[in-house]
Amino acid sequence: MRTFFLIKPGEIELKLGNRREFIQRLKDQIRRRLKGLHFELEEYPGRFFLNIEEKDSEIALFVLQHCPGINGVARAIKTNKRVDSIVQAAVECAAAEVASGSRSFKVETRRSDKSFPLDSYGMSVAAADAVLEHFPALSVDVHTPDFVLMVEIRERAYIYSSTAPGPRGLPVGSQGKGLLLLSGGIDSPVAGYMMAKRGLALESVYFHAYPYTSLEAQQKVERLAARIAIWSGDMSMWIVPFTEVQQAIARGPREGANTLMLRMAMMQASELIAHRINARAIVTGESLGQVASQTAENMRLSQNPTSLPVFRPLVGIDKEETIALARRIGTYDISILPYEDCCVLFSPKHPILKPDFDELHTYFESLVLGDIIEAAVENAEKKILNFTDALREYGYHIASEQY
Amino acid sequence: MRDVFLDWAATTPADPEILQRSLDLSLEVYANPSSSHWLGRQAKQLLEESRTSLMRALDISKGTLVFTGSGSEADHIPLLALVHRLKPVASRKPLHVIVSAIEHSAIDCQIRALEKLGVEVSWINPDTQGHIDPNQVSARMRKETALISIMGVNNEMGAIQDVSAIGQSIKDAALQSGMKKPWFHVDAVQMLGKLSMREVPDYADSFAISAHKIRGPRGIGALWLSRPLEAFACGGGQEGGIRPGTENLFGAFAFRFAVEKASESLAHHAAHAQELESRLIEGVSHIEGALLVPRRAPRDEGYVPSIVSIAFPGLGGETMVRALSDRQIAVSTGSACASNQRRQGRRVLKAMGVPDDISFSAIRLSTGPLTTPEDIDIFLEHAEDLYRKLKT
Repeated sequence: MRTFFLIKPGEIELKLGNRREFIQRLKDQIRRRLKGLHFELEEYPGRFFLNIEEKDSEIALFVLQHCPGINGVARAIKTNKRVDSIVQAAVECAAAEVASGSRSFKVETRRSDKSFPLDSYGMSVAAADAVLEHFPALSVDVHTPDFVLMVEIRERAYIYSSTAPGPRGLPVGSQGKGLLLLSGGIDSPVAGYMMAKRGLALESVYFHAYPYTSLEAQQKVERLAARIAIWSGDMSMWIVPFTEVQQAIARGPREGANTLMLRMAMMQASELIAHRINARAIVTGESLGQVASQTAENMRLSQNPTSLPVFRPLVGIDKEETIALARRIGTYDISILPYEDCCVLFSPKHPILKPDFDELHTYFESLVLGDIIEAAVENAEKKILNFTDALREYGYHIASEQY
Repeated sequence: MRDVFLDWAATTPADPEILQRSLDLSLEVYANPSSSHWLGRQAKQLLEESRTSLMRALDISKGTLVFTGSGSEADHIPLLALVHRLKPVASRKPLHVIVSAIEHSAIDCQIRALEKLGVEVSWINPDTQGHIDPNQVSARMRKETALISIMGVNNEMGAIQDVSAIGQSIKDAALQSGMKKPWFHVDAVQMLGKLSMREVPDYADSFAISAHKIRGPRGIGALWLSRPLEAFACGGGQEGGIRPGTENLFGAFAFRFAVEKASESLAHHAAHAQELESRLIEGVSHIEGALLVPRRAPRDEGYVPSIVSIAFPGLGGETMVRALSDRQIAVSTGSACASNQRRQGRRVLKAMGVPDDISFSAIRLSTGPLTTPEDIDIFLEHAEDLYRKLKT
């Protein structure tokens, strides 16, 4: 048995200039994410059709629903172009809708094959008549139907009804690559998701301060990266050993500036990694005013060590909204696992709320962290979290023999 | 470098002789003790012999001993028995329990679960030295008080509770006011093998113990009961209906052998633990900045010598545990220091009024019969070095 999915691309329809490239990227993304499964992907104007084995249809639907650039996915029936076959498929489609409680419908037909004997209206009427005959309790409602029965007549006929929503947005990679600063918290994974949805391919960086932070904390961040990878396709993670940098900051005379100095040091390290991987932007989960270090002045300071744009998609979003998003994208339950470093000892008791930019900038320079930050980046470990890791995080296993 | 294991309060290395003997016996006597054929009867007989011998080794002659799957499970049984009494009668006042604020999470978490079901809880904080005042316990008693649970020995800092005096004050208070005496449960998991259990039945209604804390295997605990209670979990009626489930013969045999062996050497082990304690406390006093939580002198009768809590202010306990672990020295923080449980993370030390910066920097050392003075010296040497290097 084969299953057919009709895939509706999103915003790329609007971007006329780059349309060809975007379509190609989306196709590549879909192919990469379904790697290991047997499928065919066909492209039509404004549509993709995926033909896949029935047993893999659940996982395919899951993958497509998490692939940025896709607006919606519908399970379709593919038939030959005889009217009776199309009508029969329409009835089959309607049966599933009736079973799930729908009571009204309409039929819409699209016809790219103009040699087809019926016109669009004629085809819709024929399908609707047959459906009404089989399900007398159904009624036609052209304004607010419970479901729309779609008939598309191309080189073959495709009939479908319910469309599952996709993530929308742009195909990953269409906007280049960004480096995500990933902690174990709730915010940064959401920021990663939001930027992946805007077409940014992602790699991430995690600052590990062993033994002040635990290996469990690092493993938790790896799991978060894998969960973001379900949206971003795959996601490498740079684990930067930052203990010495932290210690050097803590040895400095201004305890109140520790958090800010650490953020500046992290930004400087991120800049180095970003250049190495050719990333065009840095992504953080900062939200204005959420904690003491996330004021406008502090953000100005912390981004100072980089010349790259710093994307902060959560800057205007409050914590409740972020939590709701984190739950929806599947990172929340990992973010709240209790492995965040309990090393509160680095955080100052009285953090600086109104920093003097020049003064703190000078203080950062006076700590002379450049060499140890470079050494930390040199010693960074790169972990590759690929799409199968992401699928495994969500309970889907693509059998290894398929590779 | 050899392993230095200073985490005996978490678990103990099993005694191979005990395990082998129990394994041989359980391979020979394999039938289900509930079966009525001769093999089953034979198994039943050996199980009962183990029970009797275990009680004899504890020097206890009254009540019954029920085998359970763990110390935690043994703690849960008297607590969950309260569920039967949570009848939704509008006029009835809610059940009330009294519990110390420094119980092991087996008790603490289960009591919080009962609290959600409508049980009222009085939490008793210890004094700054970690001890519960018996009068504070009896002062909270009221007509609806159904259960009082106080641990014998604290697992994080070794304080010995005067359960005998607490039991007496409960009795006195009940007598004076004419109230029904509440059920008094003692979590004795850290007491077993360190202190005599002989007098516990004189004042408690139940106590919980576990085999793996005294070099027995995991997966076997026991609950001593002065009289039967109506257990919450039911099933095949095993263990007098208190703990259903096919009996763990291997575990019961091993628990018996472990208790017998531990009881024989109780005094010897205690003397050994005191020696180590003195060495440790002396050594810590030479590490600048380090301190004992609570402060205590060697041979203080208010603590078991084998459990000591040490703070290294300015260095997180978790960090110290990891750093020591990298040098093959096993200690623990005494409880998980988890960020989303920060409020709860160090509840035992917090309940004693220890300031956060001290409690977060505390680690727990616990010794056992196989611990050597050299183990203590190795710990002291590395702890001092790491503290100097990692302190912030």
